[in-house]
Amino acid sequence: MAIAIFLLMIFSLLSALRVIIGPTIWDKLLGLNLVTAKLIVIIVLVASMQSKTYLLDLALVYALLSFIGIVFMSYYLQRKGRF
Amino acid sequence: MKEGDFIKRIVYYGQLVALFSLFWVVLFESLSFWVLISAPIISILSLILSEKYLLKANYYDLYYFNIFWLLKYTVVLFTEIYKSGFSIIPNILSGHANPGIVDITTEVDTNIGIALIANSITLTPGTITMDVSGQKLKVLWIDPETYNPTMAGLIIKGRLEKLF
Amino acid sequence: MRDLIGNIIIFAGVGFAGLGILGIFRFKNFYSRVLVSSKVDTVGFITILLGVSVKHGLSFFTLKVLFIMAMALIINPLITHSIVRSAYISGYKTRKE
Repeated sequence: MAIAIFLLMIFSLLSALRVIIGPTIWDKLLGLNLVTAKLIVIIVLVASMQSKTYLLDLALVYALLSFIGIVFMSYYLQRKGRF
Repeated sequence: MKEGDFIKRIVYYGQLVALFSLFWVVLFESLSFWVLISAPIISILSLILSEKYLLKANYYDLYYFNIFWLLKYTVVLFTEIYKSGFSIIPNILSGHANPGIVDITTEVDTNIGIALIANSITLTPGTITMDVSGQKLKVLWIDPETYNPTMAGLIIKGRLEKLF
Repeated sequence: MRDLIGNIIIFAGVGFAGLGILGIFRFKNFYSRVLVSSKVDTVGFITILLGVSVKHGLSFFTLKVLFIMAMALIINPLITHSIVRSAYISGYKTRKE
């Protein structure tokens, strides 16, 4: 289990590299989406290792917040800054 | 309002209340007396308030579904996801991609049905829905075999649409 | 026994996530990247959560993990659709590799 968490942390760092070097702005949004998915999986695995159920509420809320953030950012880009 | 319609409506709201109560109980993680009493009250209250102030219409007219049908749909969707997930691995390893945009049409005519079909197409690896207008979908495909709308529609959403 | 099966499923999911990361650096074009990596990543997500729920048996923990999985099944295609639609309306063209 600890090996899986370590591998997922390396993967999330590599996705964050795409946020930094992405040539277009949508590449950066895609990298942000991948980092978020990896973080949710890491939270679930840590909760499963320590068998604490309240950590899962954190994952639920974090999934909803990232959804709202990314959808509004892409809508803002699509309207070229006008809401 | 006919007799059979009334019974169907009661069954539909019953299954919505059961689903919401299950969610409430799982969030509290206990089967104590007060949680079991408050679950149906809170779900009925949230249904009434959201229909009156947010939706301004009926859930029954807009979002009709059956829970056993939803389970069957989920099983077919999972098999489709894993099948296309394995079939896309050679594309990643060889680095071959030739994306193109294909127009397809669906025979499903309800709003929730079109939304479900579009989300399922996006969920299977290799295809992404770009735009929906009426019953026409614009789909981005990783390696288009054909640009003919009916043939492409059969390949992309053949097994999923048969269930409607 | 159930622990072992759960661990095997979790490592299969980590393999899928690694394939998604490989796909992000492999392709030159934005459309190929979003087609390959984002969706393979979703397959890895579902597989890891299924492995965790197999490991814990029938309990409140499993039910909560299944609710997170159902929410991800609804949310993930919406995020990908909104990103690709924003790129398409802004005039990004398809290109062959």
